[in-house]
Amino acid sequence: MRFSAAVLLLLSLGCDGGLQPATTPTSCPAGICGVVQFRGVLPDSTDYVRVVVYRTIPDSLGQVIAFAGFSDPLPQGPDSARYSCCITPLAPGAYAWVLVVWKKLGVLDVNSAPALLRAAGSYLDPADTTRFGTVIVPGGGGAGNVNIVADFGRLQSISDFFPPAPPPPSPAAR
Amino acid sequence: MRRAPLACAALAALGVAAARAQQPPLRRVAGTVVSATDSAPVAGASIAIIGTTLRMTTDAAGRFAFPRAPGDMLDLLAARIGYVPEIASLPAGADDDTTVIVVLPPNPVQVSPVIVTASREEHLAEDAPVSVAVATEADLERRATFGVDEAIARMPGVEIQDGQIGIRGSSGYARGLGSRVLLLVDGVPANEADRDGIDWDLLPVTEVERIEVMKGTASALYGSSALGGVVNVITREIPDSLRLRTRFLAGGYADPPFAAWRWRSSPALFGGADLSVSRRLGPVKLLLSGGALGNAGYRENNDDRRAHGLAKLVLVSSPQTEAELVGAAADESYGQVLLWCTQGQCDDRGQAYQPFRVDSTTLGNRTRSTKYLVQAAARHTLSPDLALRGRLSWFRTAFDDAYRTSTDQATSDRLGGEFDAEWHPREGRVINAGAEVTFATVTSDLFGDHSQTGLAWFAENETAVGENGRVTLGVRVDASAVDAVAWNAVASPRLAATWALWPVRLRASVGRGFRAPSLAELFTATAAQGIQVVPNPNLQDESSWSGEIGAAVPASRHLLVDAALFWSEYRDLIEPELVTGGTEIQFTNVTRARVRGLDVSARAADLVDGHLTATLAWTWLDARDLTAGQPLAFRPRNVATLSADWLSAVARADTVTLGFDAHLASRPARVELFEGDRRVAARTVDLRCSWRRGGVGLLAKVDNAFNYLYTLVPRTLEPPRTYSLALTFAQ
Repeated sequence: MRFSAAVLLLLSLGCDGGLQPATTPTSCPAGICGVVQFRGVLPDSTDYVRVVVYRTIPDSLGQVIAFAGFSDPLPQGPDSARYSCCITPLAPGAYAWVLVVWKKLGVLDVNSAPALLRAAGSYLDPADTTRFGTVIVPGGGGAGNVNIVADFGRLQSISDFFPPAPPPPSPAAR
Repeated sequence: MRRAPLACAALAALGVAAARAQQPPLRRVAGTVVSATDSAPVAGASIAIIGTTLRMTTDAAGRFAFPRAPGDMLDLLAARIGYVPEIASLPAGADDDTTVIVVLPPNPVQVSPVIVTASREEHLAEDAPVSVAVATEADLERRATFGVDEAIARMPGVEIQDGQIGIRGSSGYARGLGSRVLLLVDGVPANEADRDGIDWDLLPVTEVERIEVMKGTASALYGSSALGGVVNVITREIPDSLRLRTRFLAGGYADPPFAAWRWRSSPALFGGADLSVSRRLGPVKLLLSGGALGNAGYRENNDDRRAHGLAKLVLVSSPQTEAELVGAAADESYGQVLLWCTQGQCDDRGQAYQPFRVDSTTLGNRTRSTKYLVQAAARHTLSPDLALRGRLSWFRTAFDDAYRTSTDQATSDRLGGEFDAEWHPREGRVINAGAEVTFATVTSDLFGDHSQTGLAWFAENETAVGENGRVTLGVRVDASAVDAVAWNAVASPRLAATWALWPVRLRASVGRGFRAPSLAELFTATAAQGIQVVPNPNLQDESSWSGEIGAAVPASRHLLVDAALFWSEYRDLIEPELVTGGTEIQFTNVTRARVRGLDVSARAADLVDGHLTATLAWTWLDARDLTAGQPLAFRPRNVATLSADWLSAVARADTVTLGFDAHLASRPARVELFEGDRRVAARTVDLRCSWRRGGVGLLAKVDNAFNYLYTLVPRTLEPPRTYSLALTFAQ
């Protein structure tokens, strides 16, 4: 009897759950999530486009590739794409700069970063869109709705931000 | 360093001298092993004269003969799968011929009474001081698998994740790099020279007699890579008479259960055939085997074509000398599936991910992989007290990646040589001692051109303690160097004991393990999806201290229960880490970890008038990264498998068997990539039905019958429902 019950229990294991289709993520279970709106034409020399995050805004070129994390490469072609950051787990806490980077073909290191990495757009503070927005990742969860506009017609070298550049123009000014 | 081989040679010479000095009168001992059920001869039974180096296997008529057995009183041990091992005591009889009939009572729960992996020599399974799981020929046949990895994936304590094996949580997932499990082919190491990974398709599974999985650190016997355990694949014995075996396998994969994920209009099919022929020709036994497989794959860009061959030659000219030569080759061409497609990377049909499809930019990416293995082994019995053994091996692997954006290649060779002596200085004591040398090279645009040299010396002493106990103390010293510079030496001791507290067999062991970094971990330089992988030539060895306490309890004639508590403390585990702020990946010695748990299995056989056989296995794991204070990645906390087979004789010569495997692996608490992805537990039910008449068998099976979709490693879908039909013929 007990054996039969064990058999039935184990046979029922496959009857529920499993991976299922998901049209759009309804939540952000971990890290930082949102939508990137693309503008402009993607350059031919594109290696990849990713969302990258920093704990604090780097104050030197030496820290320029010291990302706290980065997303999968974003799709090239659609008008917008959802993203989830990052590939590796993002620790809970505050992230002062979340941006979309465009990378030119080539080997990336500290020396080549100014030539290869461009900022296409940053997450802006919803209350003051002239400033970068700080994102708080809660413990055991994620931060959603971190939406970014990435404009390939207005790429800025990453080195332009060190020393920190003036606050970016507001979307209205564009 | 030169002293150790000399010491080894001196030990062997000492053994010879000792043996000659105490040379007892000799006699011929011969006999037959028969079954207690019907007095039929038992072929393939292991026969050993206890306390000596003398052992052999019975022929097709159940016969055996030792022409130079000791003349004094001796104990003859006979053992065979499915029987209770028997010890026959023979009185002293110098200069006489002794003939004996050994009767073996059946024991349906006895999977494999004799194992070789736990101590390098044949050993009664119940005397093994460590946990060893065995997949028998029957297990392999009833699952009709493609490869060895599938055959052992349901063993208690074993986890296979996209081809990477972990035993009791020793390994997570690193795309097959740096295995913490050592693969042996008939006792000879066969891990890849460059990546230290395992090629599961090297040997045709149809030519495997059994697979022994030794759990826990085995570096004291086998050195590097045996940090987490050993898988010993033992090829078939060759009979005297002509034997033909064929297997035809065909099947297909079910469509995805959701319309949004369907991606192909034609069914995904696979099929293959294996053929082998073997027989004795004078003093030589010969086996030749070959096969091919084509598989359309259940995912996009997942097709696979492979061919393999095996030749085995055994020299049987003298009862004192056993020699064999094994050659294997495999060639495979397959589509590369790195990760499934996420939104925007393919025709996603508005889905967040398409698990059966890949990024369109990786379509057409392929890898060609070839492997060649040649190994020779010989064992010579000098006297009842002393036997010598030598092994030579060469293993070549080569791959060519033809990707849309890059091409990579690597060719690696591993040459190995080993010599050891088995000495029985007195009753109840056996010493194994020897030396091993390995030389590995790689030429690759990924790993560079490098070499790795290894030297090792090992010795182990096993002593009987009283009537019921045995204690084993051993140590192995390994010295290795990369590119012949900066030699590094490591000592791996082991202490183990068994105790018979009738009817329970208790075992305990503690030992140190280590793993030298592979050439790939030291020198890989490449880029993947824009991320650079950079070399780290300063990598140090991983190490561990491991122990276990276990018991085998024959609860009745029909039920055998085995349980083990295990514990391992790892230092300097080599893991891929993001460095330089996250834009580069490098293998580094970062992790201190503790893995502990419980391994329980119960096997019931011959139930319900001999119709039912069932096995239940459960492993509970607590695996912690002590450096980061979090669970180790890719380790499920609970893994359980229930298997049952119902045998029915439907006519005088026909048997039909119905069976299933139900498998559960809980969702790992942590993964290292794509933490935000939905992850689920692995829950599969495999169903099978077979018919057999004489040498002809037909097996139909449905794996993952409920078409449950899950992953074991990130963004890599495990197979959906799979239908297979296997036709076998053996004569």
